Amino acid sequence: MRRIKKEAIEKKLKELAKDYRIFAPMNGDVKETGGEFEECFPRLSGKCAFLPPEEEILRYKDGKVEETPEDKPIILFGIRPCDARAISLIELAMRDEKFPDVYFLRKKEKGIIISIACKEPGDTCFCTSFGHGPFSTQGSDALLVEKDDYYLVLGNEKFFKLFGEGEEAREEDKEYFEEAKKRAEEKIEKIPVDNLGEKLLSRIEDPVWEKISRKCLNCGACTFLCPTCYCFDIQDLERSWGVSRRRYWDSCMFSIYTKEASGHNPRPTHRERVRNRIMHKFSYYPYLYGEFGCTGCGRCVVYCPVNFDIREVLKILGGSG
Amino acid sequence: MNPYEMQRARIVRIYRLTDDVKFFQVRPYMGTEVCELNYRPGQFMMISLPGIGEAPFSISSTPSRPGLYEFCIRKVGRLTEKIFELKENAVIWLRGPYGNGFPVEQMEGHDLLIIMGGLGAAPLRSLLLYALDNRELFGKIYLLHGARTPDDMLFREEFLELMHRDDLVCLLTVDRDDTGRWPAYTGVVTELFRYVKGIDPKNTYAAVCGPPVMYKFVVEKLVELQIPKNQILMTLERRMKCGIGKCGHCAIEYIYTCLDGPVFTYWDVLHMKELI
Repeated sequence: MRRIKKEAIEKKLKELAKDYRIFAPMNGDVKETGGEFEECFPRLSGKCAFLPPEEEILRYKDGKVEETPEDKPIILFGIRPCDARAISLIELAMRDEKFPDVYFLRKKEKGIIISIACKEPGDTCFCTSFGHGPFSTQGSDALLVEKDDYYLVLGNEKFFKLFGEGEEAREEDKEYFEEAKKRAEEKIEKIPVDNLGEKLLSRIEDPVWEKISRKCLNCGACTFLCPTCYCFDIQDLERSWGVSRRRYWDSCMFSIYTKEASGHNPRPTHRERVRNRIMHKFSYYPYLYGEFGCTGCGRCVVYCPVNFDIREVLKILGGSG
Repeated sequence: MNPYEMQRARIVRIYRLTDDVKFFQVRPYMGTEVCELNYRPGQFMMISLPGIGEAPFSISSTPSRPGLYEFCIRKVGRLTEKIFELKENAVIWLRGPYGNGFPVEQMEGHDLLIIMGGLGAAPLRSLLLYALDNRELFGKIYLLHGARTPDDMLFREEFLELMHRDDLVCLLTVDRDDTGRWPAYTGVVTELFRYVKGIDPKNTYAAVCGPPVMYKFVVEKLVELQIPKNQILMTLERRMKCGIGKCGHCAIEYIYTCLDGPVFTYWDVLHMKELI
């Protein structure tokens, strides 16, 4: 563990804005900044940096197709550890042998993710349910813990090369770290997830889905704010120089998402769509990648206009509620 | 490598099949040689017109006839409307082939029942022609094809010709014949099963494609015939955007139709909700 002056990191971040695109929480959302950041739990998650709401994936110009050139590498700074983890979960879906998604992966490979430990978790947080927590380092190149005018840092070479090594952490820093970690973790509600994927699968035809989904508006807010949701639509945008083919965030909550050209819709009602969202995160994702597709950040609970609470759903379906 | 990058191709010929379906022969730009196109019956391609969009289309041709891709396209939306306006020699863009396609190697040595309704002819014509081009590799071949009227039947003339061949049984039917000159059957496609004789069910593969309502009735007949459930193959439609297992649209439970489909067995259908 190292300790680096806050000032030094803040100054360095602004300097790096010359060669990097800096994304950080600002005015309540993660967005591109000039190196400034705000200490908060942002509404829009860190995925904005690596899977932006709108992104060009191809150019058509003078009768030819071109790959979109690479932009400057990304520094994603000041997000919570759950958001850093979320990006590593998206990576599981984007990285495959046959069709690796070049636009996500090239940003991820050159990018740097720096999270700030979550000393004061909210009452909608349930990250510890998935074996990680407010001080988790998975997916982060560095985890910073605020202490007075210092950051205590658990980082890799990539981080220290850019931000400097500071000094060796003192014994009292390590104690502070452990204590803060313990205190934060204790505040977080743990939801039982043992064999959750199997339990959900066995209840796929359960009438309870009807009840669970009834109040959902299918507005898609949960999917856009979810740090691990990555579905996208593809649309062409005409420009003066040609055509820009772009991908845009999409949501499995919308009926048109699965509607086929013939008019047939294999997920015709709220019931199937809500079920699919839950099953994808807690049954299919673990089956495919060995990890739940949820970090327990709680955004879908906080921002749902009708108070759909995924924790309650997991308790009901997991047999503990 | 950008997986979203498409290849330039040229429309060689266009035929009108019905009021709202056209048949396109398309040749990729690959110099002057006749190109071996490496695909399987049952696979699909993404076709795009820059500025309009991109969508998946079944390949209707067979790799046993090199040089061209053939597509059977119904005018249903913005992209297909624009494709319908194109003339021969126009440029279109392709990427693919994608999807699993039919397990043709496994199907060798078996009797084949190919059952199509409406636009289901688009992917199954590929399998049919492949089997006919490799006739010695397969046992008996039955084609069952249903349409609403003779005018609605895709590949009508091509399939009517097949009725004269003695190495397959070609059973064509229309719900109603308003021309008075229809030389084949009238009635729904399931009624054709009474003419299916002498197949060895355990040694038969059935391939079905048609509107969702058709599957239920056809599958009942196939199960009645005692064809094993994992030898009843269906090729399914699904909304798709990327074709490469990323965008999420075609996901069914833990699989992607664009990677693990669009050909599924009836066994899969029984074990997965929302497949049809």
